[in-house]
Amino acid sequence: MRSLKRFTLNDVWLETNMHKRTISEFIRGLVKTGHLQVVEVVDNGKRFDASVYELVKSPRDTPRVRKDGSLVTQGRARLQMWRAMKVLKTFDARDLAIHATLEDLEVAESDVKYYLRYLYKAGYVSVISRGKGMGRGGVLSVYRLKPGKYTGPKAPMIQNVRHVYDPNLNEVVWPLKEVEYEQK
Amino acid sequence: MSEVIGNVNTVAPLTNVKLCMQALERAMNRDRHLPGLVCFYGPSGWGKSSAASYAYNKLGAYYVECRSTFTRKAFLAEILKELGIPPLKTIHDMFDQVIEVLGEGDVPLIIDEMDYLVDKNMVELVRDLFEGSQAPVLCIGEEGLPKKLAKWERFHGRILDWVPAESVTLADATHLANLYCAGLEIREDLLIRIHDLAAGSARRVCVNLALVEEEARKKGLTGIGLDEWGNRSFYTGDAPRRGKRHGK
Repeated sequence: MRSLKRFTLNDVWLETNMHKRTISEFIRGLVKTGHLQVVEVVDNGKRFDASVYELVKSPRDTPRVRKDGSLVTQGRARLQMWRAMKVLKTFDARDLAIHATLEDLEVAESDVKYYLRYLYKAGYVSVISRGKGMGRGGVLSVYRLKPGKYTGPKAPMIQNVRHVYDPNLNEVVWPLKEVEYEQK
Repeated sequence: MSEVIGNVNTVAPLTNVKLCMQALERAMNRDRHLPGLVCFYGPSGWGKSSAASYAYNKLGAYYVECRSTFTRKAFLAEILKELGIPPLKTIHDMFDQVIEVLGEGDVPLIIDEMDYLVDKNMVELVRDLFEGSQAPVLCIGEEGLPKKLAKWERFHGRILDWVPAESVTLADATHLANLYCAGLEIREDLLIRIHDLAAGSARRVCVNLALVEEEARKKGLTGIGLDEWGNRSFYTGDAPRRGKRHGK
């Protein structure tokens, strides 16, 4: 859609070859959020090819919308943390939670801690001063995003099998494969 | 405290975050014939990075931080990494890659630690990036940045807005206390004292809030004021970080 700028459902289908239903639902959602506008309706008797859409807003992050126009927030907390890490460089879990929180998506300190634990294992962050204790009496660990470990704009993901996957590198970065263990 | 309802847990109500967002929004909504470069500057520790981090997330912007080692190529490579595009070989090609993506939408580019680019005579490169893409650009730098940039007349004249960061206000200090010491009531007399000692630095407020929180925790207090604090010393020097380990 970004390259087409003006298109019908059929144009998108020809480009992507995705399921027609998927395309029409995605586009319906984008019209509701105001990213797309209907500029022309051609009455050619074909339902799938009737309206011409135009891209009005083209934000950096491709919006994930449901067909009713509501936004999918899954994965956004991690992205916000990843970005805040890049800017802050040195932080504890609370700093990061505060800076990653936006009005429509609060990031919990516990979620930050969980994410940091895995990023630490995968070698993305180092610990500057180790915290101690837990809960209210505890002191938080201070972390640092290692220089050069900002691999790209996508946040590393913790997979269901508890592996850390970096979509920028298209690699599972933790645990290391056995071969790599031997090399190190 | 009443003014922070609705975004209690974000940094948005802080003065410098608001200033930074307003500047960027002016650049994004400018008339097409106006330049889209804005410059946000102030002493370190005043919350410029907090503001940058919020704007980065809120606007889905692109963010690069300059380093003293940057060459033109390294700078472009850093931007391309942020754009998620594998860089081509020459500076010329990389420049075109950046322009192409930045020119597509109205996504702002945030350049932090701009001073390094100025020291390395790369100001013209930033200007070219803007001219080529027309994307809004926010330059963040130290207090002396406008003076340094005055040398580069062609760049200087293209700045839509100069926004100096402001020193931390009492309202900011109150909001920071709510953010960092949730569940602990810090009475106004103590907050005023912390604010006075901070000399404008939001970071120093945070360091002292951490000290106060630690003290309250040790004594098991749920509220703390000047009476409980007594004449313990505060942290007044420059701290490297919200220092749980400093100042004792």
